[in-house]
Amino acid sequence: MTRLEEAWTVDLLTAFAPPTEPTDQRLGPLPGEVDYLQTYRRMRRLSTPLAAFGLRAAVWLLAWAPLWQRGRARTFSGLQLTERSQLLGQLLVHRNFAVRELALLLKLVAAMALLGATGVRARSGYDNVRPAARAESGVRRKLDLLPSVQPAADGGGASRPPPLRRVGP
Amino acid sequence: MNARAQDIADYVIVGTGAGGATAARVLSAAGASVILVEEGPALAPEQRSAGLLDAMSESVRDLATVTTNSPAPLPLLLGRCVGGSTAINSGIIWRLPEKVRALWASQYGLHELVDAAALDRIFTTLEAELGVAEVPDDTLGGNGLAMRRASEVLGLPGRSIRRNAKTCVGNARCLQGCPEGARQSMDVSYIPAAQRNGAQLLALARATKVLMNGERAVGVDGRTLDPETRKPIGRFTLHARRGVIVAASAIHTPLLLWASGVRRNVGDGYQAHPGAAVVGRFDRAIGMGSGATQSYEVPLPELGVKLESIALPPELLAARLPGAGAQWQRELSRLDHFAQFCAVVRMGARGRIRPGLFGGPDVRYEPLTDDVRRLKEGVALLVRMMFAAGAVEVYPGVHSVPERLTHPEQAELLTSEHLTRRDFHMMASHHFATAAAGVDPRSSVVSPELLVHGTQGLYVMDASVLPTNLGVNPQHTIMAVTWCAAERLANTRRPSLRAA
Repeated sequence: MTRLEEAWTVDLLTAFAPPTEPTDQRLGPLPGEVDYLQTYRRMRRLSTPLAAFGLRAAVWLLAWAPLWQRGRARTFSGLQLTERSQLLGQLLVHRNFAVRELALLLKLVAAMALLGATGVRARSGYDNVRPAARAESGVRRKLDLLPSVQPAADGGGASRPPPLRRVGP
Repeated sequence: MNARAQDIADYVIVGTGAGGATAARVLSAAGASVILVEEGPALAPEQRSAGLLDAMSESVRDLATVTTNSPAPLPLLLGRCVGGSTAINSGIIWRLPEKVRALWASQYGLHELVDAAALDRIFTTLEAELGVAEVPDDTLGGNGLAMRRASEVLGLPGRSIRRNAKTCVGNARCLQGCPEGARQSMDVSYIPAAQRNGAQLLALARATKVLMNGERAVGVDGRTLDPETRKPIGRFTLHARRGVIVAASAIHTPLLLWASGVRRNVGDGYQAHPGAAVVGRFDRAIGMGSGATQSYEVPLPELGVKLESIALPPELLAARLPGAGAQWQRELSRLDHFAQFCAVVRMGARGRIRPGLFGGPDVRYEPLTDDVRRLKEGVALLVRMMFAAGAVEVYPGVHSVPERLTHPEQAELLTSEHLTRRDFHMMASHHFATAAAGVDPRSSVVSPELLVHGTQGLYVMDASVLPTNLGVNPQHTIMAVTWCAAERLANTRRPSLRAA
């Protein structure tokens, strides 16, 4: 990739979830918390050749979206931050299948980078304890086993498969 | 290369998923020497990363970017590590439906391979060895509980899923690879069992060709791979005294057979279980991140659809939520408020697989009109279920339909005739029938013994041989059919190996 493409890539991926303040209600990375470019490169490297081409094509297509989508003679990087996010939102539901799929592909990269960052993931609430879910499960929970028949604390060896038998009837 | 010294065995098995590992378990227990060849790495449970990109880069083929070759590509999820797809699936274990079994027996002449009594014995053995049990209430997780509530409210025939993970602690990390080793995927069950019986495992080794001496399979050629780059760094040749068993998945088995000069009917008849998912937002914490990844389901065999709860890692859940910028970021700040259900369709469409560019598969497959109709009905029902479970908004993820639905009546929008296959985001994780078994060589690839027609010693033992899709998760059937064939192989090929 050229430096220009790399700059476009960072601008595109950052616009999905621009940096936020720690007190912000919206989830976003703190400055420098997410390395979008490294995630993008890694995903390209690990994908099929066709998907890798798609990732690169997505950058070019979306980088020039202000021109072909809005008729403005500038690239994505030339837009204000809020405009960038609005444009991405439009492209994700674009009537053209290829456009919306390529936009979604970049959104997937952004999500991988964003939620792959430990701090961002922690702030997302995904790993929170779910008291509501636990209480709900108690409604229909089966009766607990009596202490005398509970499995041993170490699982009683149950984590290993049972002994294998010889083949044949 | 450790196996170079062990470069001859009774059987060389290509692939370590449900088919290859089961064949190794049965044949090694019968006294045969076995070498298993696996393209992916061997990963211990404690090496499994919680981060999705790290985990998928190790164990999922090409980050799930293998797709069908069609105007609207359909992603195909395939494992590539020791254990194959059993190491990244949810460990769901259902027996072969009787209707499908009867069809295979009558239409494809597979009476012995799927004999009801024999299958019952094998299924029972597999379930005992792999600790198959219904998901208990305390690991249903918020996602599964939401589906159960919906099922009860709407009077649907829901049930807890049976899995090979009796000691599951519910960390919702099946896709990344179980860090506890609780799910009895092949890498922690039958491969170690086969190794205890003397089987050799050669990981990071890509089989490129089955060596034929006339009609007889005599070995496998391949390349060893660098653990970091996965680029070829060497070559290997493994010689087989008694046979070669190809078990490289319904997508890659045809490619290996094709490269080996076996082409008649190979790759034809491909079938799958594509599916699409619906996300619901709740006004309270649901907890997709705890519980079994898949714990509850509603089978609707008359519709050819199975509805399942399926928890996503946060990276995929985030990508699934609508919008960009501030709108998306508000959703991301409450990732514990979402549930996801999916509709998996037993599609009637048939496709074909051929070698493609760059060494990958060229998968031609397109759902039929009726397949898409049933998908729509399944997704519409998911929307109703999500509201019945208490969701305040539902995100159907279907183009041409509002991104956010706020009322169950809007489910009708999903059944519109104007919606096409391109409006849905589908993925397929079950693949079948690309080297189908049958008595007639004109319409099948392998015999009821799973021997490739017209060859000696060349067997296929994976989902490729199943003549049709099933309507249920295929792992159990793949293992049972393989067990049956491998057992027969052990007993007939070398009577002295016959087990007690």
